[in-house]
Amino acid sequence: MIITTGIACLLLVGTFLVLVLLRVPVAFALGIATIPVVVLDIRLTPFLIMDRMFQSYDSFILLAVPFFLLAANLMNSGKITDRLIELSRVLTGWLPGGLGQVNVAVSMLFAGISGSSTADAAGCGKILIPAMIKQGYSPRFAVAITACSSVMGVIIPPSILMVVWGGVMSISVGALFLAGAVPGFLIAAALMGTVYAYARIYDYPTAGKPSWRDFCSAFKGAWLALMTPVLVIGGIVGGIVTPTESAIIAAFYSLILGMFVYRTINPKELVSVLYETGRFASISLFAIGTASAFGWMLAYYNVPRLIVGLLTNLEFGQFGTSLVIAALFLLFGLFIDAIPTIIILGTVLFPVATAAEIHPVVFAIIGIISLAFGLVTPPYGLCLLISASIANLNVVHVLRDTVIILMPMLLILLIVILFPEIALWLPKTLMPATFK
Amino acid sequence: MIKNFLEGLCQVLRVLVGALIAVLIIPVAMQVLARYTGIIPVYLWTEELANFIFVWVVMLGSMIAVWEGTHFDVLVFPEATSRWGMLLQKGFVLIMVSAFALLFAWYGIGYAKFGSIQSSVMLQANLLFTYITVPLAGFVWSAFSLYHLWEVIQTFRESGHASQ
Amino acid sequence: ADMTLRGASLFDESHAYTKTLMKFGELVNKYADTEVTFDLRLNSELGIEPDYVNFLTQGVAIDYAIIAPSNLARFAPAVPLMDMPFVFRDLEHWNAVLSSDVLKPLEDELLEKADLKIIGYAGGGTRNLISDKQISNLEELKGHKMRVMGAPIQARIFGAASAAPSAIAYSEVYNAIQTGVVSGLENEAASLLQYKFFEVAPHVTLTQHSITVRPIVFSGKSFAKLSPEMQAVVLKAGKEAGEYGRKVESTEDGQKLTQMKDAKQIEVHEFADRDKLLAMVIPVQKAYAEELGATALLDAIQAK
Ligand code: NA
Ligand code: NA
Repeated sequence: MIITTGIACLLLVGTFLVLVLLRVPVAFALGIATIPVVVLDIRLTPFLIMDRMFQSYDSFILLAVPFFLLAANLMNSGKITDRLIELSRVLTGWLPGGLGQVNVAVSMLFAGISGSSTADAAGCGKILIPAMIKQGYSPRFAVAITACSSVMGVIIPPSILMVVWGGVMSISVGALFLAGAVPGFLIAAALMGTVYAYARIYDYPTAGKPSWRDFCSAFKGAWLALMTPVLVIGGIVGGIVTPTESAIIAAFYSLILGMFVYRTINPKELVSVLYETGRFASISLFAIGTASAFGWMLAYYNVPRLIVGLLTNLEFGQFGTSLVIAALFLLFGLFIDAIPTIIILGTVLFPVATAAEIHPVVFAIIGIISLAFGLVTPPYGLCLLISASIANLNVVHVLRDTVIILMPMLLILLIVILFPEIALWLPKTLMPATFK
Repeated sequence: MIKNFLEGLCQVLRVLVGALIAVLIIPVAMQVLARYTGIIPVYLWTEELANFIFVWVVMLGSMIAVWEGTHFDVLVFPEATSRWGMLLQKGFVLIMVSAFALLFAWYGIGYAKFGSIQSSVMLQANLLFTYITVPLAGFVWSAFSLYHLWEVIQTFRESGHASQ
Repeated sequence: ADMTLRGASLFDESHAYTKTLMKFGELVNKYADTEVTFDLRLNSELGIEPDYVNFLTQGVAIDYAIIAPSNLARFAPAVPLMDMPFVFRDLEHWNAVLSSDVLKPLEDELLEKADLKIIGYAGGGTRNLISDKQISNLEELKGHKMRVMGAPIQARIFGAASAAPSAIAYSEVYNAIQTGVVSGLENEAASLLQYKFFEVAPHVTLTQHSITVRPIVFSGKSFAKLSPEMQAVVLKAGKEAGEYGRKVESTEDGQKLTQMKDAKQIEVHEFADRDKLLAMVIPVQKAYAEELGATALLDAIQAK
């Protein structure tokens, strides 16, 4: 038989939701959810599930993902992270809530070097969460602030999500990078404000005033690492290197720093970094394959056209549509990883955004910030899972603090939606050619 | 016995994934060198080779994650702790994964054949070389998840004896 | 009984390929006794041409599409000979070839190896270089990183022309140029206009290296399911739709180029060394045809 749009939508989305709620891994749930329609519809066969998955890997854009992860993992194992923490300590440790501020500041630095939030949560969390607990911070707060600050990794350039977004929707990756910077810094400011409030209420200590000598040695230790963003962001924005190449250059740079300058990586460790990178990258990339199959099925049954028609008819206007877009990305982010969501939802909403006259770059930034929140929102929040596991806590226990910390961050998202120029200003200034 | 075999298989996959990530650097680094330094000429096959390796990394990694149980899932309901609860919860997940795996194993053979009648653009390589990863993944996922299913059932049985 | 045939196109309604496929639908209904419904999916909704090829070989999802010969190379390596760069002298030669049955051996090979049936020939766009920097002579072409279609002959010919070709998926070309993976591509005016490649690559060099041949491909598995009468109708409609499509695109091609030029979207450059280019490329064409055992075919095409 031939299935109608309504039934297909119900079968695909319904099966997926049931499977995910019953704890079938997301990547498999996406693939399994395509089976009922394939069985019922005479026009489709299992060939399509395999083919749509397999062909999605034929992409030079996705090739950037493992290299960005490799660079981040090398930073962690090369103790570059430690140096960034030390620098953050002298810069912000003297504020009330010292180590909390350090946690935010180092995530900001890390974000400027790496494109991955999970590597930030894992690398910085491993050091800062135990240190914070030792100084009397509540473990729940330590975990929540680590997770929430790590989301800057994909908002402040470089960013794996922006590379994929630009590739899937044919938008300048350089412009996206620049557009993420200001919102990213605003989120950092919001987080520091939150830490300050926490410190006042719970009387958290400072991490001590640094001496001039501390300051110099911290800066000397970290300045080589701080050159990475110049290489990566400068290279891409200047159109000199491709995102994949920039990631591999960043990886090489971290490797050289780790092996020869700081001498903290040995060959044995390098082997484990390579394996960990491959393992972690392939888990997310595999999900992209089944998400592509799922997304193709939706497209085959005209579901995107239905949604676009529906949303366009409602005529929410620019602000209303932006809110709906953010809400949908936040909702999807609860259950699915960010990259598959870009493939399934981003492509569907793109025409909706265009119809509402939302600038493609603003649309991307709204989408990416919303998806970044998904990294810390259960039931599927990778950064929260990673941070919680460092402190041996259940995600449920850190929920309250996470929600509190997310509030000011959501406010920033709202501000970006209200004043899109916040995102557009930097790319418009530095890349005027892209905006003519 | 079976467990040792499967763990050994997974260990082989781990070594392969680590090695392939290292190898993946080569063609991409060659592109960078060719483009910016001119030390080596611009080779036309580097991108294709990078893509081949990439496909293998993704598919091998997906197999490892089935054995290690590290494919990401979503925790909505609390983890089951009762004997029956654990059987049903874990059993259901593993049956679903096994079903998908068996589908890939069965239809993947045809898909690999579909690859074998194609050849790549630059290297003129027979595409069976990459398409084979589909049925391979199917078989390995099947073996791993069916074994885990058997383990869950064993645990269920043993805990039944213990409580009597 | 009701009958539905499904097709797919990379482009919107205004593109010659889509017009061709819609004409095909009209003609089938004109010649057939029964009412046939056509479900034509546009704007790459179902993927890009290599994806369509996969679907058609299996007889799933769609029944027909227009496919560039290069995208059939994975299955039948000789097929891209039908529109390899510099094979046609001019539009007249191109028309003569397509109005004859000289391409029949390639059709047979495709049917045998991939179970795909060519029911007509569209095309007629003239392909030029599109790049992010000015290219007006051989010196400037040297080492130029450009995207070519996924067929070995395409890579070889542009390689022989001293460029550095790479086969990138059509859906990623725009971004590849923007991020500097390649500096350009080669394409016809209609596709340049539809995909707005000029936003990232505003320079068009009139190499006029190809006049496109775009077979209307029907899935062999779907074809076998049709009644003999219906098969005859599909073949007749396919042939006529192809003729119609060729007329549309060959007339529109120049207009579209002028339109983009007038809108200051592109800068058009002459290519100074086309003769030298031809001299570099001819031996590669010959060698490739020989490798495939298709020398006789190439001679036959050139004799037209
Ligand atoms: Na970042
Ligand atoms: Na942090």
